[in-house]
Amino acid sequence: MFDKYIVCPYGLHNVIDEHGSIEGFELKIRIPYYRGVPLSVVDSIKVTVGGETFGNESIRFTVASGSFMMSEMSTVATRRWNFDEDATLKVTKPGGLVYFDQRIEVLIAIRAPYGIFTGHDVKVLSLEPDKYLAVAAK
Amino acid sequence: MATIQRGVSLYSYQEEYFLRTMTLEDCIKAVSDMGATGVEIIPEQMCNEYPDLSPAFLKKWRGWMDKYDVQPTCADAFSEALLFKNRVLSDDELVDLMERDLKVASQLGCFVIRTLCTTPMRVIERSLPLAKKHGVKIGLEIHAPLDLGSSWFDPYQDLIDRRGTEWFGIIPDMGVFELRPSRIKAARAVRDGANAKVVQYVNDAYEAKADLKKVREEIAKMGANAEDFKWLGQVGRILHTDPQVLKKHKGHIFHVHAKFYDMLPDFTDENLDYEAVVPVLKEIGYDGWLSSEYEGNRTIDDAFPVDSILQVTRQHEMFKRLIGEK
Repeated sequence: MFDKYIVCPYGLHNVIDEHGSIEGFELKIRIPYYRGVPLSVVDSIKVTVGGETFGNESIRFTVASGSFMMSEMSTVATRRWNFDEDATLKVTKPGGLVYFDQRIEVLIAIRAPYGIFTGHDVKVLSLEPDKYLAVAAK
Repeated sequence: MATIQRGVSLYSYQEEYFLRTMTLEDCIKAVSDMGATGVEIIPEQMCNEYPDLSPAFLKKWRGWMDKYDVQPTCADAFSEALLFKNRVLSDDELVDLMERDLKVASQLGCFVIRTLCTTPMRVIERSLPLAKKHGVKIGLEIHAPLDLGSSWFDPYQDLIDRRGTEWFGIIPDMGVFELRPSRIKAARAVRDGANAKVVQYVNDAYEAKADLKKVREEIAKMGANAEDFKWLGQVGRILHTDPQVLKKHKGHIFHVHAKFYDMLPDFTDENLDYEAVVPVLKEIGYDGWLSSEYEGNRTIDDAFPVDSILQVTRQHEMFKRLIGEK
């Protein structure tokens, strides 16, 4: 349920580190479950783009209550991802996304009390203007 | 005279809430607009401060209850037994979580929490003194495929016999009274790739009480595909408990989840047996809430806009008729 809303239609952009190089990209996602959850039950997220799949080790998950690497999430029991909240995923990928139009696939697994609850969504998104592009345009 | 009261679980409006077209206050107003009086909530769905509700939020919440002339009924709780990846929570920890939810319910003004059937009974039993402490009952949700009439309930009946029904009782989900395959689910099966003729054949066979094993052979001969067999599987899981079974539970029904998937424009539900269920609830003197749980959104949202307010309003027109509300 809510699968078709997982990948937000906005918020895809490359991320520039303090030295000016592209360290990866960010996208925003919604929860596929019907309530908010403690971050520790967000079991795994896989982001696939351009034939490359990124897992828990390369994804930083950020909501209002905190920011953690997905590989750390299983220990975060006192912070929550709310039902109505966008989460930001920062995916480590040196050089970032090169093409403007990207097919983004997200697979997410949540440990509900009665077992694993999964969500899946694929959308084609366009990169939003970012600092790097703005600098390049000058 | 005691009478059945009409309420809504705000879960019914989750599509609009999720899409940010309705706020929590809008959901409460929608309940009031139909003349319903009970508001049920999943705090983890619509209270972002959960589990630490602030005085400011609680003041707003109580203000809405007054403004819209409604009252809180049930808070739906989840025992997060799989909170950690490498172990299941201990009973002690689950009791702590139960107390946390009893406290949240009490702050919201709810008289009962819904606990899932995945909560161990020993955890419920150990939580009964905490229910008393917070003045909030613990209601075990009985949801399909669990059968209200089966021996599955025996241990809970034993708990009731030993500890009484002041703090422990049940919240039956009306999805256990399914009369026939849902037409919106059948249509979805076809959109997902099932053959409309096979789906119709299966539905007719169900109505004719045919042996579904034979139906499986028949549709195989018709060249049924994987989606057709999936539909047959869904139809095979339809649970129609005899509404008379509610009499057995007289006295410990705290609250009723009025699940539904599709209300027709003439204010009838051809899928669920409310026409038989409500009279039985009346007969046993049930004076709690019928709390709407609209769940059709996830069946139709691939192809149609969802209008949860319209659907719930239609169900309440049916309830008014069945309850005999003037």
